[in-house]
Amino acid sequence: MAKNIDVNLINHIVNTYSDTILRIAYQYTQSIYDSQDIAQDVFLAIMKKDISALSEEKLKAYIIRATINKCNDFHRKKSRRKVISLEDAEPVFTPEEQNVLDEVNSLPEKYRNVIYLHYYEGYRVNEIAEILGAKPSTISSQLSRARAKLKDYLTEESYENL
Amino acid sequence: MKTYKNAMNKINASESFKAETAEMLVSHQANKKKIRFIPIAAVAASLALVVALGAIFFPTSENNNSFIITANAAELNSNSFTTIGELPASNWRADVDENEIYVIADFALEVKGENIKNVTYTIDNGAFAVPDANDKLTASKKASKKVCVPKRENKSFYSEITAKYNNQIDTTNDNVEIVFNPAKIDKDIILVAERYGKFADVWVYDTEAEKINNYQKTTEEFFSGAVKDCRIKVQAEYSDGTIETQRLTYNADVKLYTEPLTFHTKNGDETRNVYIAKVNLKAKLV
Repeated sequence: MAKNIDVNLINHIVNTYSDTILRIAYQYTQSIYDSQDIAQDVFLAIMKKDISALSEEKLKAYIIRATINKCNDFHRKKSRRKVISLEDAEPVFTPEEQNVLDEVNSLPEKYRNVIYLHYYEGYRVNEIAEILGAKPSTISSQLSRARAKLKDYLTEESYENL
Repeated sequence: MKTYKNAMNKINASESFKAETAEMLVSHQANKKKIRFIPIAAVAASLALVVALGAIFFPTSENNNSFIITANAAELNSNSFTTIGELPASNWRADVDENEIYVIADFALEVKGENIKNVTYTIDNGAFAVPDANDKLTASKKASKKVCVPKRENKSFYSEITAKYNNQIDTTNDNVEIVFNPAKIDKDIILVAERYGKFADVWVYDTEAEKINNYQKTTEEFFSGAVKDCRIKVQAEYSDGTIETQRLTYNADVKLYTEPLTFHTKNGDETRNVYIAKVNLKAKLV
């Protein structure tokens, strides 16, 4: 019997969420290759679930949570991928961008997630709390603590530009 | 936030990565295997046959402990757990979504005795991770049926391995590991894993008494919960064909210690004592 594989769904998920997964994973690994490994693991895990009934919003939240889980137990290893395209080179940051990333990366991982979800993805505190399965008050306090820490680390000027 | 966003925008998935990933997912979906169920009666019959053949060909003399088992040079006994090493903090995984929990430790076991030809290790609730390049154990390995094993490059998982007595597993050079699984991944151990996960990326300072107790208790619950169901049967086959068996079980305890850590802040360096957990793996004969 022919298997029912939804190629359109696979393409949609990969095209829509690869960047998000890579960005979250990169904050843990600081390596595009390791992030790609994590991304493929996340996609494989997602395909085991019945996601067809999820709204786009719920699916994105689920993917973010799955990515953070994979990152938490990521074992650093050589890339499993046999072919690495030249397109996949490590990103080149300006000194200013590198400085900001270094400072963000010096924070504990959960703070980095909150910073990313709030400042990059534009989620509100309540939404982040729902995604991460935490209380809104916890996220709110993590966000303020993360900002306070960054303020200590960065000069006033770079903090404004953060 | 401009600089941060600009930096993040540079982290992109290339078209070739997307294409390769989509192809891999399609292929994975296409090759998914159906789960096979083997009737219990058939399993029981085959087990009975194995036991009967074992009794004919391998006369056993249990409870005659003329060989000893050491782990990292410490001799194991049946009276109490012996500390046999430290569990590396990074070699664990608790993926709540996937219902996967495991902890990995170096193999570390060695048998000592006289006139022993071969040594066979059989594991329940776990697996032996053996490098594929290892030729010491090639002749006698049984693939692990356990599904909860980590993805590790160039390693395969076995539930039984045999080594010649004179050429036993050398943990340092052979890179053999033990993967510990809980017998059952139930709600309780998942809750412990979730609590432990919350400690994994924060510093616990020496001023936070309640958190310190929680840290120790949770770490110990997680690691002992992950290893305590594992049983290893060790069989020594002597030159005269007789076989002796001993079994061992594991546990873990946690000692906390403090280390000074310097934080660089805008107002200068600040040194604080942070708590680090040292997880001791223990083993005992049963």
